Amino acid sequence: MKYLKNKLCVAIALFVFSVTHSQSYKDDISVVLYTAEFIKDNYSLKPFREHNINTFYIEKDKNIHANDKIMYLPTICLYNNGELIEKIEAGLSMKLPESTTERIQEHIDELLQDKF
Amino acid sequence: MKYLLLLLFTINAQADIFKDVFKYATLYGAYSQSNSIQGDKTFYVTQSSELIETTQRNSADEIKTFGFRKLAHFGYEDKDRFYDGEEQNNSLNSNIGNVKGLEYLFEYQEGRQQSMEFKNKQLFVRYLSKWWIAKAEANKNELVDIDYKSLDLRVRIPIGKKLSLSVGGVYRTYEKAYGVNPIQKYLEENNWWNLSYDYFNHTDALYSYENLMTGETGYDYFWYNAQGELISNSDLDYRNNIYGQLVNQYNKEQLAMIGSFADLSSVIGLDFYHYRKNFWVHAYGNILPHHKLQKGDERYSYGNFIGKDNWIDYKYGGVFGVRLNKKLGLFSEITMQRYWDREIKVIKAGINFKI
Repeated sequence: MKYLKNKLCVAIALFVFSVTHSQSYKDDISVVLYTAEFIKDNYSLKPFREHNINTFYIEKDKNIHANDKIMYLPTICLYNNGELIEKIEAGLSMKLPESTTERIQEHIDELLQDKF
Repeated sequence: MKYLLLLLFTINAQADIFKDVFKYATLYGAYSQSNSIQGDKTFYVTQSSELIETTQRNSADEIKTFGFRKLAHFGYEDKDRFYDGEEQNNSLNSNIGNVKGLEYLFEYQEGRQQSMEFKNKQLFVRYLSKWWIAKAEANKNELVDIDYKSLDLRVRIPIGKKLSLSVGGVYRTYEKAYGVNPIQKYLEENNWWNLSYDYFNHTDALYSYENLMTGETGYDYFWYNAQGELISNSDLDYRNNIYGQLVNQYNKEQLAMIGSFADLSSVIGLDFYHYRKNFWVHAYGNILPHHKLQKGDERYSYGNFIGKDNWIDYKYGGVFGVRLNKKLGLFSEITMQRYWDREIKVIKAGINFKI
């Protein structure tokens, strides 16, 4: 019985750990910037700081870039509860389009409206 | 010029606040009517064997609801419907809502259920920031006999993005002296019939009877109301059909005389929310381990009733759902609450299989 109890506790702990740490950067409304340290004029995520914001540099987070199939730098992705809502990629100039903030904000407004 | 700029700035700031407060809010009104549950048919037979139906028919149940709300749904809650006051939002139970910032609900209901008229009022305002939570609630529900107000202030400690710990204090009012039963005390010191004499001006009259077939004799009492009208032919009939109502009325009046109470309690809360389309877990809980009476007659306070001020009030709940594949899904929901001597338990679990 004691062995079973311990096993159950370990299983619960593993479950909670895996849930809390499973791609939590995509939880709720999350704006993620995939970029590189050598890109000097990096896009700022400040306009979205009310939501979850994350920046991943290819030099440090190569696996995340690979898992999320990032082909261009910088790329900005909007996620809602793990689901990709919008992906905006830079062109050859390595700059995100000027309308990036507006496009992301429009989607966020829609997601928020959908919650109420 | 300086004043003009200041005025423009003020107007602009006010417009922004107005926009933040009311954005995504919904004003709603609803009316619903449905058949009331009817009891079994009852009859009365006269001395001349005439059958008279005495069934009490309940009028149709109806509810009018008016409300104004800005309350975010959790991912697993049904969003694609109109608000009619019947919706159950876990956001009202949990400490953390599904959005940061201001959320609120103002709702007024009036109507009739099982022929009983009622008026319900609910007010809920919460502000959720990264590091603190403020919540004010007032709930008066005449259908389930709840009437309380509370003000809750806490420091919030986010642990990762899904788990949140909160610690603070909550000021709660309650209208009834929980644990106190006035009639019990009364009957310990008096005979049951004293209540009828002293509080309701009922009177009795002794009579004797004889069974002419068996020769058995005995005695009993007629009971009369304050107007002198005969209301019962025996003690047993009186206690079965009249006395219960007197007890309820006495309790209600005595409790109303005691008045309302307010406690300040410490509170520790924990919230966990994880949502994906095919799997979700939402758990929340509060524990209130220490209490201090702030208002009300200490002799009848709950702390005095149980003899200590460190009783444990708690509230916890959780929602779990999983879609195992396109056809099969499991869900469960639990809510447990014990505040003073009042307990609420709701447990739901189920399975869905699409054929």
